[in-house]
Amino acid sequence: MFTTSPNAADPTRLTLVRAAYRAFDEHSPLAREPTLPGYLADMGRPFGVRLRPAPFTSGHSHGEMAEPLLDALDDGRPIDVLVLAERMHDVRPGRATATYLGSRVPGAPLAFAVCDQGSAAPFTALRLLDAYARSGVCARALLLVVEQSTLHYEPITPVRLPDRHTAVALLLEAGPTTTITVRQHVGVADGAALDAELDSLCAGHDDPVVLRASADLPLTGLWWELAAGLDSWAALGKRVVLADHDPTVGLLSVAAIDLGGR
Amino acid sequence: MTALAGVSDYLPDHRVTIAELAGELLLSPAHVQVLQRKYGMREVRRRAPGETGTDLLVSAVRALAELRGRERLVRYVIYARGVPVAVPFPVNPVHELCDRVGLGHALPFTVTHHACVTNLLAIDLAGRLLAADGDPDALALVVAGETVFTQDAELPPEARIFGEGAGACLVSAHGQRDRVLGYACEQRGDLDHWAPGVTDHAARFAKAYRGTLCDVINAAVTAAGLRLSDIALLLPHNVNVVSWQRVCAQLEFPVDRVLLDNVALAGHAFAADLFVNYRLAVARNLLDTGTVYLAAAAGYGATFAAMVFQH
Repeated sequence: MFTTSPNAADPTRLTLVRAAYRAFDEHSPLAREPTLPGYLADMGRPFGVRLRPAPFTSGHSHGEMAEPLLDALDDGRPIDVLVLAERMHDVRPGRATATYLGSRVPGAPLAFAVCDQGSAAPFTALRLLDAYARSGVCARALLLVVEQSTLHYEPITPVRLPDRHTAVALLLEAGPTTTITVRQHVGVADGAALDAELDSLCAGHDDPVVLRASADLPLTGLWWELAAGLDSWAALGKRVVLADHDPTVGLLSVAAIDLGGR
Repeated sequence: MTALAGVSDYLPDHRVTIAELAGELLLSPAHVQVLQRKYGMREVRRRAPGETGTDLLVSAVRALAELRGRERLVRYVIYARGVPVAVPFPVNPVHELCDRVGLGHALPFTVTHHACVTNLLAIDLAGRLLAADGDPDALALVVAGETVFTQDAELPPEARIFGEGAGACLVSAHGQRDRVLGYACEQRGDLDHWAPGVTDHAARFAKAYRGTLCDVINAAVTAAGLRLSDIALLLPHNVNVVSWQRVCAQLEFPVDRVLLDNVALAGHAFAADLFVNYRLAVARNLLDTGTVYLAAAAGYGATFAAMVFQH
């Protein structure tokens, strides 16, 4: 059970220590669940959304996609807070997936999802985890960035869908210093301001790694690259800077993560 | 210390009786009678034709008098949504809300997967975000409220008669009004009612409900450094009267301290219940300076949570 009181707790800061990532070529059997078309039809009707022709056979569930990553990162030590960052919904729309995933890791963490932010959601999730750590209630955290690639209806405004089902899990632990900096700007129509933010976050760091969002994996792509390069960049003590601009929500997000400094 | 700087609600004028909903919910006349007489249900509110879910949120925010003149202080707008997926992608109610109420400068996002007690999660994390930022004047706006767009036939009738409405609150990291004294949250992913291949979730949720809700209430009170007898008022979720009578019996807490009137008058308006009930408590002069009160709720998924405030 997660409990808090106004009594001061020892603040800490989080640093990124391990990661897991995986693509899923197969679709989930849950995409064929008979309840899915009715749910999506009811949800879309007020917005004039029409379902694509049945049968539904493609798509994946974020819970199933995240589970093997939790297993890969499980070292038996407790997790305090788990945040699931989502951009597009999955084929199990009624499911409190974060709550379920929280029951699959040690420590019975506080678990919740962050969404309705386009590809900015993982950046906000990092800020939230930092806030929990700084208030003294989070020494180990999991950030899950998960996106399946199927929509069973035509979106009412143009939006990029991912090319594949992919999931990334980042394990963060309390460290002695600040190693993660996140900045977000709202109402940003284009990505021109990214360069200034990147210059600011790269200044004073020797050959930092700069990652920019990819079109083929709008949500997970950045974090996939971070997870894939984590061990080698940590060995070199690199600063990794992640940059994203999502024009659909007008959010510009950047993060600087210092690796290997523990 | 996290505190609420203002609370508002909005209930549509359109009232629908439980009997009028019987056809939609596939309820027999006998079942309607049970819901009315045993569970205390009478009517719920529903949107007017053409009124959208975002309209509900906008109305609640426009009713928040404490926001006027302080819009520039709002850093975050947090939508506490109980239903994990409620609009087709990429429809985005919280961004539309910000544009319509003059908060386009704030960072909007949704938190969910805590069912109808996501409101307490949002209040807690809003306070932490603001404290981490370090600006003592900064505020966060938490909103809640949803539409009834589909019927989940898996839910028992006493839990699935939802009303429509909305609520909003301003959160500060260091305020003195409606201070948060303690928060407890228990999540039971093993009771996931959308778990693949599971058929006994409703029975297991019902079995766990009373004891787990009592546990989080006691834990929140303990975290606040208080005793249950210090709680002058309990703001419930408006699911039904019977479940609260049973919870109170187990807690040995007087049921007349639970503000249950809205079970009959408004129904269960998802995560907006807290705000709707808070406004009713204010209207009835139930909150004096220093009054210690508790909000508690639970929902499928499953999440149980309670929060202690001092007015």
